[in-house]
Amino acid sequence: MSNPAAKARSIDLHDAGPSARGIGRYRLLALVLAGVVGLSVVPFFGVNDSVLLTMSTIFMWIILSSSWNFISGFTGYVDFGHGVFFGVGGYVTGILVAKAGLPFAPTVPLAALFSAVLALIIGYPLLRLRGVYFSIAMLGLFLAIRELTLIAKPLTAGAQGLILPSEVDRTFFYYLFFIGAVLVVSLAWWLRRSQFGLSLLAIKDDEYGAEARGVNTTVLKLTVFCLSAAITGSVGACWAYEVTFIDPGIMFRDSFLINVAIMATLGGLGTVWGPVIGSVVFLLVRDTLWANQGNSFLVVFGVFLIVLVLFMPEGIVGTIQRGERTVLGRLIRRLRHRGSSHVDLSHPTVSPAPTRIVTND
Amino acid sequence: MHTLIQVVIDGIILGGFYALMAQGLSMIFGIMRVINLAHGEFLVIGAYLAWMAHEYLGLDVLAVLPILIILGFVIGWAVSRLLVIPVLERPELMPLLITFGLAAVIQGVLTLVFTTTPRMTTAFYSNSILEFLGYRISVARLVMLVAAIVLLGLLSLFLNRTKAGKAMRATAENREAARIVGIDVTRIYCAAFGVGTAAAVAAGALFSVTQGFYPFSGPLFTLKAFVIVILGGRGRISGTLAAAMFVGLIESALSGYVPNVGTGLGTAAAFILVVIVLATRPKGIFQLRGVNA
Repeated sequence: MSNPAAKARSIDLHDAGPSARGIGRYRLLALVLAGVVGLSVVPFFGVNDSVLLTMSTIFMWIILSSSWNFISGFTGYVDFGHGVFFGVGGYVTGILVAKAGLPFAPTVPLAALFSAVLALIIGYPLLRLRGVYFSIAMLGLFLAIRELTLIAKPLTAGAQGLILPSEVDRTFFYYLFFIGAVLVVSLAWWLRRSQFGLSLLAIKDDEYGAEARGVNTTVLKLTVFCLSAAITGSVGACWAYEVTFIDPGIMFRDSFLINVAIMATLGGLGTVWGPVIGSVVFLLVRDTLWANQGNSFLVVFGVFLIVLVLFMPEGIVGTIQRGERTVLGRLIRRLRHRGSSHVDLSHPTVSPAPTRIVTND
Repeated sequence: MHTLIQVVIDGIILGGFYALMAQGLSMIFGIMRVINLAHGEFLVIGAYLAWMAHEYLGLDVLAVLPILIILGFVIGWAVSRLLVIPVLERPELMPLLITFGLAAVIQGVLTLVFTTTPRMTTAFYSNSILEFLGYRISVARLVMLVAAIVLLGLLSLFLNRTKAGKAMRATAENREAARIVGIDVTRIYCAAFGVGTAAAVAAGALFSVTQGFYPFSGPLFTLKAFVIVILGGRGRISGTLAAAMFVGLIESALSGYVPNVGTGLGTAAAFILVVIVLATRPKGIFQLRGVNA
């Protein structure tokens, strides 16, 4: 059942570039709606738990990489410590549920709030820094908070971890992450078209220029950073409840940092659909490699990243949209000009996405 | 009092090692404006090379150190030429991502070749401990400190006295001006990356005698090197040395005075420090105003 839906959804992703204007906004909207409706009825068709888990994991990473894209893709401030909000959100819920005995639902807004406040406190001094200094400071913060979580045993139980009493219902988490993903992508859609989003892109292109034109860059950067942190924090809270056991090594994983970065870069930084496509492709590729190669995962994955950065730095969506600067982008452009608008759908760089989605369901 | 002096001794030894490690990163950052996220992995490569030299060829660390330094320079040059130079003009994220990918590849290859079993290089002085007025210093750590200081001295001579070193400093100061006066900037970048990698490999080889290592030891080294580069300001050897001693002293004090959690607290303290310094003095606390090389 999910196949037509997934297919419909992926086709519209492809055409999110200049040709999207060719199909017309209403058809695009209809395709997105069809995709959303299709995906929202998936649990009614007797799919097993592992498929639901895979799909909800993909939705979760769509939310996470999109929220990372808000700060890093839009403003160009590369946050290499974004996992700190995921961990902090998870620990807020973990402590409140496991130690204070609160029900799950009210802890999520608290986790989001706490993450946003943390982002505000550290963002205020750090976002004045430009470029790599911000990245390094965030990485440092990530490691520092992980160490502190390990040390603060009375509160966090340290390396022993916390057990959350929860009933894992895959369908519930499927819908939770699905709705979250739809909301976050809508938010990205809106952001890309709003004055706010355009100002953020202006910061990435030329921060001094944006300042000179009267854009209050500090306020904008702080706002988007807090927003991004709140989203990531609430996802961390939900995920902690889903896995029912958390410790610092799980909540503050190193791999988190690189995963979001790869997903957003693979899809296309600063685009709406980039993190979505990036997450889907990355997770399917990763799961395939994990299953088949085991230990060589790191090697294959590292080479993949290097090749990606060298030959497709604009990502999948970016290459399709405005990639005339890269080899692949020029190729796509040439194909598109030569044939009808359908030709680019069969291009090798984009075809893995739809086929992989279909086979996985 | 006894603990205090022991802590200071340990801190200085640790600081010497950190200084050599961080100076490599500092050169790459100072000259190319690139953060090499695979720096710690080069250090681990150095450690494994030293371990292999002793295990299979029976050669001592100090004997193979010159060869390892040359090898490190060649590796660094190749990495820079093939991976870093092509993305240098692109947004800052690209060199970061590419060196991160490289780090993953190195970790993966090391795991496949050596497994995750921790290793430690043996040397003829491995088990000797120097006792002096009741203070205990392991000879391996002392050798590490002395070798690190000698290497840093040589690096300083290279930067200040040779033509290539002066060209590097000129490029760090002003890339365009360096290009105008006829310096081949791309070659200088490759050479700087090579020297930085050589420093990491040498530090790793020296470190491998004092403590166990495994394929995933790298990231912590990279991060500590970052901390020191930021505290010390980029490029300056004296700044790096002071910052490295500072971080070494903090770490040894915390692990000496705070039982059980001291080591973890030391790591956290270094990172908290860096966040504070970045927020208040982005140019580093040991960087003198207006003095640059």
